[in-house]
Amino acid sequence: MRAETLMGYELMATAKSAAGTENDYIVEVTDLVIKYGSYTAVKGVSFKIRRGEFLTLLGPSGCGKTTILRSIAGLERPSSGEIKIDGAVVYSSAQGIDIPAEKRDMSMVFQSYAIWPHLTTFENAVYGLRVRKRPKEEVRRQGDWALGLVRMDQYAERRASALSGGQQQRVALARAVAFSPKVILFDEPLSNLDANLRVQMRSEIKELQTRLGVTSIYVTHDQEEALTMSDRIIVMSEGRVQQESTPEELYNFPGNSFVASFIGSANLIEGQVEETARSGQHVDFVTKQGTRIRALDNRPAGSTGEALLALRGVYPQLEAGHGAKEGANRWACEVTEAIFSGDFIEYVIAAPWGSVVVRRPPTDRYPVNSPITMSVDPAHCVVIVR
Amino acid sequence: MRQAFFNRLKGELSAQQLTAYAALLVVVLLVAYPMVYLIEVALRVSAPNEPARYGLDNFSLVFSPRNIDTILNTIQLAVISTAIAIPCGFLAAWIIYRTDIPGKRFFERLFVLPYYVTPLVPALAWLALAAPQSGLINQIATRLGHDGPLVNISSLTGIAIVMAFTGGAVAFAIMGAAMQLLNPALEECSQVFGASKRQTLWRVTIPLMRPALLSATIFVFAEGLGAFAEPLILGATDNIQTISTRIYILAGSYPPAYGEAAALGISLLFIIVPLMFVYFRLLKNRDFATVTGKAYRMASIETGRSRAGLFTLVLVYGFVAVILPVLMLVINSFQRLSTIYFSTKVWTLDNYVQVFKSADHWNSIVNSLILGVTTATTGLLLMGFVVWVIYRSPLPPRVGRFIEYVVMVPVAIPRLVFAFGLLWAWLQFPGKMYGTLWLLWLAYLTVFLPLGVRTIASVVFQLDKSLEEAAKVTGASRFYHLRTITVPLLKPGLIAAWILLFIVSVRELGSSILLIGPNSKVISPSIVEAYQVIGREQAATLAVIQLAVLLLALMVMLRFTRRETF
Repeated sequence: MRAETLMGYELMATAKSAAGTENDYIVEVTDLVIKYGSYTAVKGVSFKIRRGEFLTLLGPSGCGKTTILRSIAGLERPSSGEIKIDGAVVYSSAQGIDIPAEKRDMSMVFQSYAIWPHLTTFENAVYGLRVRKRPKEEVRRQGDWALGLVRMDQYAERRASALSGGQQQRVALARAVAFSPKVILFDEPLSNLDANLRVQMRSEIKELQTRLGVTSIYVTHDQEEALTMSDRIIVMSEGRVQQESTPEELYNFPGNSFVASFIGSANLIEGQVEETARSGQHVDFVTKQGTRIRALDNRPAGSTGEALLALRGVYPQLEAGHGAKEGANRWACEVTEAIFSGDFIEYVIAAPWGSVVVRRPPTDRYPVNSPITMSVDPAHCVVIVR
Repeated sequence: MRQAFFNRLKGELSAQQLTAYAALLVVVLLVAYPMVYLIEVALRVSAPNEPARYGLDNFSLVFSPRNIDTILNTIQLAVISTAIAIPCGFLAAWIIYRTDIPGKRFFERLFVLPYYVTPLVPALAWLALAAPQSGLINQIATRLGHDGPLVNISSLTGIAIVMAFTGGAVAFAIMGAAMQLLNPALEECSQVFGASKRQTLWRVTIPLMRPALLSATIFVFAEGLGAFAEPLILGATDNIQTISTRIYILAGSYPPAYGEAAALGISLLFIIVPLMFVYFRLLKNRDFATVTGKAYRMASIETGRSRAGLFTLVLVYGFVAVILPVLMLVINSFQRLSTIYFSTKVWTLDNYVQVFKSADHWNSIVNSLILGVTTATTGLLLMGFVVWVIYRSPLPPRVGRFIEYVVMVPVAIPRLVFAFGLLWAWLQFPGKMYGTLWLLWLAYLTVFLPLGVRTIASVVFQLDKSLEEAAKVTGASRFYHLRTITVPLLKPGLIAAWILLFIVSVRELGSSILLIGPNSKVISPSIVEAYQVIGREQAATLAVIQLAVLLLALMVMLRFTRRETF
């Protein structure tokens, strides 16, 4: 991309390349606690975001993710903790600091879009510039540029209330980037759109973010959105961080049963780890029924006792009939159910320890009640804490 | 078999349509009958007992110096009171619904109170407080050495200020309702994008409130043009008349100048009707997508250092507009002679004893209560039926829209003008309607039609249609699902609507005062009569009794609903 089209974002891109400096983190949240009366919505959450990073707060509704986002924006006052933006403390319960939202130099895309219906598309887009009293020429240039980015320039003079949901969302996006904010906050921006539009907007937001290199914090309950867009994901539940890692790691190595079942669909098998067969992270997992599964131990060091084995439905391999050899992680089973779901077929397999749900492409057809052999790579059998 | 089924369907539909058309007829008769007679008497140039001759003579009387003066007074009062009421109402609504001041619920209820009591209350109270000679404030000022009266509530500005207290309550309620429907994300977004609180107020909140601001302005202005109680009580000293008080005087003079009164009333309609037309257009096409019908949680803007200032502001406003007038009336009702310094000698219970001893006063209280209960009950039935006809009946939508407009006509007509039409209509009619409670009942039923229909419609709209549909799908008969689903779900709202109709009937002055007879007195006109014939203390006592009844009813109503409807 040419430098002049980057507008205010040139500096940010430069700063992003200068990694490893003291000022590497643009948002730092420390020990954040948010209470409503006797109810604690957020129970001590800490995380940091690098310049240019796309971070997602993912969790079911009521997990506290939106509350955290609104606290970073300055729309909600936390009960205790500290929030730093670009090295400056904007909230600190200890120091009694609470900088109001308008002085935090952020922008936000709201779930309800919050497009001002009394203004035109263009006036909406340049709002951040106008309240900052930027020169007219700059307002014009940045406004055209931002609307061009989201391909809404032909609607510039239209009243924003006359736009469709998807168009309003694009305007909200243009408005959020037009004045070169430090961070863009996304509060479930796609949840009001229909399924097709959601997928389309998802890639548009991601593309825009990559192009501009603007730091983004994204809140969603949609795991697909989180997995496809994020550099890093924080999974939350009941006001606490459950796991923090890259999308791939999160999917393949869930930290606990909540993450395993919330992201993707995992079979959870109860049992115990047999320490005698340990070699590095590889251990033997013994199910309650006594089946031995070679697996990868993903529990914190020193964990003992009852554990769970998470097995993603996409990883097991199936072969028709019962083969002669029964080896490591290879079992004689039976198909009990086959559910056609379009992009895949979901098979319910009766394994020695109970039923396992396995997803196969529609090309792999196995009749119900037929014998089958299931095998799985130990790298995909992840032992997690109960 | 199949044919029989279709016949039955056809029969049922026409029965429904028949009842719907019957409702339409009743409504049109209620509204149109007095209007026709209002026009008839305005055009009539012969004396009431002579054969009718028609002409435009009465309209030329409108341009007499006295009447021109009256019209100018009316317009000035409406303009000044609106100019005060709208900013006050907006500011109060913004502070209550948008900022973090303490005691919001208390102030919310306090501010709408003037709407539920007669305008006679602030009028009488401010007369006692600020009449040029005898007013408490002026007496104190004179004792302190001030030369002449400090404030004069009997001046044009004074009357307008007292009118603004009631207008402010209406403005507060209209704009408060709109503010609660405003998505707080629109303001929050502005804040995140770097706008200060003041910038957000001017760039986002006020523009978004523009439709509500405009409709409140028109509503308050139209009410101001029809103002009656305040100029009647306060304007007597300086002989400041408005169209409504002038009609009242003309109708009561001997021989009654009915033609001139009607022509004046119709001239008022020439101003109000176009305004009302704009008002309804505004209510209809709200192109702003902000009004979603969903009430958002009250977002509170942190006001920080200005919080104490804003709190003081609403406290002062609440005190001056609501608490002080009520307090003054209560004090007056226990005094032998109002507003002399509060020495122990003046305190007495005599005023209350007098009220209960006087058959006239006692009857007016009882009549008001009877009328209140009757109007509320019959009104709820009629208006509920009209709501069903407009929104759920099988009539063509065109007919539904027509009824909707007919029902709203009384809003555009000052109640005293409307009652005047009704008076003339029933004077013409053989039989003994005039001077009975029936006539008052008919008047109330008609003038409260817009209020009642809109209140009940909002109650019905709150009921999700799918709740009823679910009952139908499960096989419930129409009567069964009405009894088990619809009525129980609507009950709190309908009870609140009943009480609202009761309240407005008991407080009604404008449409009552021309229609009462010796045996059909009601309380608000009796307060005026007591003020004119006996004295301020008796008037204050009656007003306090009325106030007590209204407050009691209001408290019950607030238990059933939190939203005020206009």
